[in-house]
Amino acid sequence: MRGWWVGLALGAAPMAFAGEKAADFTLRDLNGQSATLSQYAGKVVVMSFWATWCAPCKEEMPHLQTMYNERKDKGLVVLSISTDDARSASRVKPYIEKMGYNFPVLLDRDSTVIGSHNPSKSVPYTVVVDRKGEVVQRIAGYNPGDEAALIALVDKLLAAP
Amino acid sequence: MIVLLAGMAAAEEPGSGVVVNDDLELRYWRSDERLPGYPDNAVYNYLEQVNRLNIGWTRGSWTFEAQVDEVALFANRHYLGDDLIIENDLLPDGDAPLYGQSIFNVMPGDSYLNPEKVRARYESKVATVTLGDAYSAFGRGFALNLNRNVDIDIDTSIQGAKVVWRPGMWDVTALAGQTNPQQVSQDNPNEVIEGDRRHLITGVRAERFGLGPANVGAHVVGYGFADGPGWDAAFSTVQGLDALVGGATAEALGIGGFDVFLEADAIGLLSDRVPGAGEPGERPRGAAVYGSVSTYPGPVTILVEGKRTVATELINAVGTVDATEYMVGPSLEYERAINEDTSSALNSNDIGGGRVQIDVAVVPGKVIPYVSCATFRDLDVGGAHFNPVPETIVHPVVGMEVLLHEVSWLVDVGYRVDDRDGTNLGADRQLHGNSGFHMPIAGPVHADWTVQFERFQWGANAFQQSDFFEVENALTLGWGKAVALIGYLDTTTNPLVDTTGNLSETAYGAAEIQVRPASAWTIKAFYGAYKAGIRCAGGQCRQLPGFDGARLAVLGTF
Repeated sequence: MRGWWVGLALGAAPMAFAGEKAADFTLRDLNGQSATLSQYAGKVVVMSFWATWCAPCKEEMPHLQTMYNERKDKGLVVLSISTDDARSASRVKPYIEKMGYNFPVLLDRDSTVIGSHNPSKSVPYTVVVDRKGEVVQRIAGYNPGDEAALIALVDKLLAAP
Repeated sequence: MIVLLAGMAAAEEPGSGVVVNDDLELRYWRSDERLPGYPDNAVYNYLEQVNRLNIGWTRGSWTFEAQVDEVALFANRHYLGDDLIIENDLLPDGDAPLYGQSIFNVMPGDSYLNPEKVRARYESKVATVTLGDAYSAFGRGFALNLNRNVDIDIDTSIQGAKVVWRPGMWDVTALAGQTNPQQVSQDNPNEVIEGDRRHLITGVRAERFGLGPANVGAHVVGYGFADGPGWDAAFSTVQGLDALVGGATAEALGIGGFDVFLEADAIGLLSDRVPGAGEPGERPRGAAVYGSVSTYPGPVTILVEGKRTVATELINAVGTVDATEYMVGPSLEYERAINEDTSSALNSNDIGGGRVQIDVAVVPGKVIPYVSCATFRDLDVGGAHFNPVPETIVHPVVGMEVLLHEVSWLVDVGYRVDDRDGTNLGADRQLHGNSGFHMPIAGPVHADWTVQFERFQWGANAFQQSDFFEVENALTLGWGKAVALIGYLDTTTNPLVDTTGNLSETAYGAAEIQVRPASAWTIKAFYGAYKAGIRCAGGQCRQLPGFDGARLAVLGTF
């Protein structure tokens, strides 16, 4: 009996933690070049975790591309991080090519980076990092229209010193 | 745990942070089954609760992560007259704890708490060091591919040490540890659980990037198998390495407009302890060869993949009891359409084939129709296959991705034929389709309709199952991200599905409301039923349980 209540407490306890430094990472891009989060220090970074088999990810990506095109000169970086594992790795670049996306695409084949931000590893998953390198928001999933709130947040962060 | 988290939060300082991810589910399982003599008492109905808590703590270059799974059954045992009734009838002995004693169980009664995963990771520009549970894949996964399979909730990690060293254009990965399969499945925790089968895995991969347009790599992986569950077996029955897999990869990017990837692996058995390997002394050798070529002329994208694998499932067979596959390369299959019959090709021990997909960006980035065709020659006639003779598989699929500003439609239709050799064994034929449509209604209100169907016709089969038809529907009405109402309607006549519908014998209906009172919280309330069935993802398949009852889920991320 006691165990049940411990379990419930674990599940239902309201926990909130403020401020979080985004952990640095090193991943390879589609061309085998090494990339780190810290190389984008001073910029607003939107890390978008996705996979080629994920339908909502495909719906979200055109909006990320538009947002990136319109704001990259103001200091926005969209890091598109594929969580496709080894099996579907050959499909990542063809998908990016056919859609004509030009934001940086990194490969998180062992799910190391997404695991540290979203332990359930579900996609799409978005992490917004401000110019100070702190995580401002995490967004699980995507529904049509969600991009409006993301754009508003990014614009606010870009306007900040 | 909460005290620990509070302490961690209080100790936060610049350069550190905590992320907590929690998934709590409370389920009331309903059953029409009654005990003889007690027709009015629905004693087989029961209430279960399962929770998965993930915690990550970053401090400078260090990250610490843990996953804790917890399960409890409410009022699982009571007396009717003098009879002890156990609502969850999976228990062999009414006095036994719910789960076996060979796992870490700190909670009393019908409950269970397990610190499933724990890891510490150090990240620098030249190296990443992970102690504890780590995932890894070499090449395209034919030699080693252990990762979390989110779709079907299979999660086997390597518990030990993993180092990725990046001197310049090199990546050198070295790992050693024991397998740690996840014990609790969130959709069905009520299984008789025993200890992890902690097989030994050790491996090294070196990869050189930037050799002009080429990247090359080589790897070797050793497997040593434990004979039973638990820590004792891990250290007393592993007798060195039982199997060795070695391979090499080569990748060339943009040469003449083509991207090319090639991999070859060889599998050798070093002992007679691998099940299915044959008579003592017989140690069949396995091999895997995989290649992909892609090119992007104008609005067209062409991807061609091919593979040939022999005896690659011998090592995976060791993990059957844990639903784990250690070596999973590209299947080249359209896995959403895989069913109980066609999964045999996914797990074939002797198969070769290829797949070509051509996409045409009619409206770049917005309207992209495509056609693909896969063909395989499956020579495996052993194991659980329905196929007594080799078969030839042909599987064309046509589809389209429409991604407009607020409207999207992802649709595909395919037809798969598994044609057995010989004139009297016939061919299995499968017509399948899938559609996901999203559109705005008014203001923040939007609609989402996904539907998937399958019509399956058996050829000759030893079990004389009847042909079947399945449809799965989900209609969602959403108010921004705040509220979503979802209706589900499924039907199946699949003779291999062992559940019964709540609307009729073959029809399942359910409704769900999802509420997000804040961005960190999602609350889901579900009532109704869904069917059991096989689901394949990531080259693996799992029989998912059906459900009839009510479910409340609370998910939080901070």
